[in-house]
Amino acid sequence: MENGFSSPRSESFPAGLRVLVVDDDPTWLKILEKMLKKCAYDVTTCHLAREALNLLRERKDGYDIVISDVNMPDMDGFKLLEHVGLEMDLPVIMMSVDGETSKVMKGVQHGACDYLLKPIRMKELRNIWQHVFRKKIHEIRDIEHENIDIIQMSRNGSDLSDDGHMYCGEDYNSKKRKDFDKNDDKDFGDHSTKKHRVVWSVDLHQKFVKAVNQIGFDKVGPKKILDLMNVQWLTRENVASHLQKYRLYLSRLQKENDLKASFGGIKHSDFPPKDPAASYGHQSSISLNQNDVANGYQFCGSNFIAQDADTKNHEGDLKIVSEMTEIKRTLTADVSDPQKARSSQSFGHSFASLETEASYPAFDSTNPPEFSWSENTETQVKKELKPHLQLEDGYSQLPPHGPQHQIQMNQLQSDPAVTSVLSLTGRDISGSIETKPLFTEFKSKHASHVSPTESAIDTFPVQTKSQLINHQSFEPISTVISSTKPQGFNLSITDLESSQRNLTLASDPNFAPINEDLTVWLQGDYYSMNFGQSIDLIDYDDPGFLAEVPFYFYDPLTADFQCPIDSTTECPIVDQGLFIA
Amino acid sequence: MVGTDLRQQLNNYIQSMRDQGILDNQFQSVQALKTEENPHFVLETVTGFCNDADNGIAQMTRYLEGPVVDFTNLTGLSHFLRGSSSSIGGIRMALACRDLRRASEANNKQGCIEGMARLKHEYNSLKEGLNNISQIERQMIGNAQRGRQ
Repeated sequence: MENGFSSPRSESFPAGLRVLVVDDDPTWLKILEKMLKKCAYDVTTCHLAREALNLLRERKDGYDIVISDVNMPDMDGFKLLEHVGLEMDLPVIMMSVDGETSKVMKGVQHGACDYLLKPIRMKELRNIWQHVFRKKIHEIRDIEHENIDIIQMSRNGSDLSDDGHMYCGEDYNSKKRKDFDKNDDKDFGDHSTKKHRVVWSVDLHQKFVKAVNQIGFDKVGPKKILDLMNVQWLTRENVASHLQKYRLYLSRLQKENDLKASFGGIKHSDFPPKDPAASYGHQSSISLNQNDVANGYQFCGSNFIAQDADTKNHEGDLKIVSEMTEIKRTLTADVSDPQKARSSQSFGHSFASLETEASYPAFDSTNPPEFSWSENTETQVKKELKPHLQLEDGYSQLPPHGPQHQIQMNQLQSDPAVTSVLSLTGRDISGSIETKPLFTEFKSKHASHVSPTESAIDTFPVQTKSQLINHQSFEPISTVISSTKPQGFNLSITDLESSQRNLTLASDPNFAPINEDLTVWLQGDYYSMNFGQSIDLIDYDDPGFLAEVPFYFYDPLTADFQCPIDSTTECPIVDQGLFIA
Repeated sequence: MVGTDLRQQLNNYIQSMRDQGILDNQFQSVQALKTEENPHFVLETVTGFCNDADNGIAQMTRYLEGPVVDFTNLTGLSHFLRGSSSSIGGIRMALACRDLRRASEANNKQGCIEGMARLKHEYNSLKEGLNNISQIERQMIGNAQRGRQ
């Protein structure tokens, strides 16, 4: 392990670890916040998954780790987990009062780096920094490996046909890109942006997927993708690691489908509620599963588009509008669930009223490779579905005006740029209001000491890395978030709400079935598979950069990074002395 | 000294609740989170929990007593309350919630009715205990504040 993690804050690591806690239970949120603060972590709380995603997108490098409950009204915790993993590549810890093996397994499958059972003990929370650290180490290692490859290749001056990684001439270009990347940089001095990680925004990811599909999944390689994407500041390595994750994701989906088939543990009562206003996230994830199993759909995107007519509004965010409407009608014909059929009615309507983005990937007539690598012979994906594959998570650039419910949909996956606007109106967050008005009451009561203002989210102050225990400044922040519970919003979006909940990874509808050889990704150490390969963040050209790497990483050779703190003690600053680099 | 007596009283009371199995270790963990800057922490948490639980149980009753039982929402809400009650250490109530949830998942109306009854019973014990604890807590805080004046 190389050294050079030095930074002013490294001595105090893991103090100041920036944790985002997401839980719909206000009591737990309150308790967890306290516990985490006791560990000298920097805590932000959130009641809803969507809020959490907004926060994460708004402040791309603002958090180090996310802790989320599995069951939430607006979005399945597992879905949130996937989003975070893909977009922000942060470690996510799941928690639940339910410790059923199947759930835990599901968490791991979706990429959770840990699964905690409630009630959660202090010692468990004290240890969460290890996940952050581990991930960083793996990333560094990956970068090093990449480095070695590059050096070797430039020495050999020969083609490497490993995944189309590097070609002699282009090597120079990618190096140039790296230099550009390095110079044009994020702010080294400011600890709040120390991560230098590439955040795969909706747009970016969409470009990525577009490129992948254009090239053909089996022929794809980071270099080719990068060239197609034509994003100046992105490096081949960024793309490579993202590609790895993408593949993993797909393979996980594949496995999930296989597992589901063999599991049989999914209860039917958890399936899509007849009452669209039912608001429990776990149900939506299971409904997803059911749909997968039921129709053997391998295409994630098509699954959701087909199965979850509920997701119509989500789809409303998608850039492909007219075709969707059509396809939707086609697909819903296949779906037997009456609820879906019903909601498909408004689907087309909601689409019609949406503006569309210009970039409508015109892949519909092409890409036989996409189908060739489908391992699922029983897939009923039709050609018309292809456009869906190109669709990004419904990240949309929809204008802030527009029907309220649509804005709400958008908020789920909105581009950070519009987040702040959407967040104003989008505080009518969950249709859970309709079914559980009581909960909003609870929550607003709990936040009694902060006035829930319209601008609460928008004016959310940037969490400073100001050390350890600035509880005082955090209280308002976290309670601002927790207090922005819609006050009795009366949403007429019961369907929409359930559709949001049904969003799964088909928020990445373009994730297609994976290749056989991708199963190789599934082996090996889970952590390194999922988290160890993202090398987006760092420009590895200059060894000096390591000095500027996130503040809280320090040279493990000199530091004792065991967590020796006795769980019965306070988590005092004093103990941080052990972490001095 | 009054302060010590109250504290002792509180501890004894909590211990008796633990002996009855109404509370588990978690309650102490919550107590441990109380700080000088926030002496009301336990009170706030308990109050918040009771509000959620009151409302939740009322809501679940509605789900159960409707013309058609809303099992889905009942399942979700019972899960929610299981989490909540476990947060303050209300272990028996949490277990009752768990069982109610199972009955609800199985669309078992009779099971839900029984489960609901049991849940209410457990909640009432817990609530009573928590109210008593809160009372003592308030007294202690009041004393401490007066002592400072």
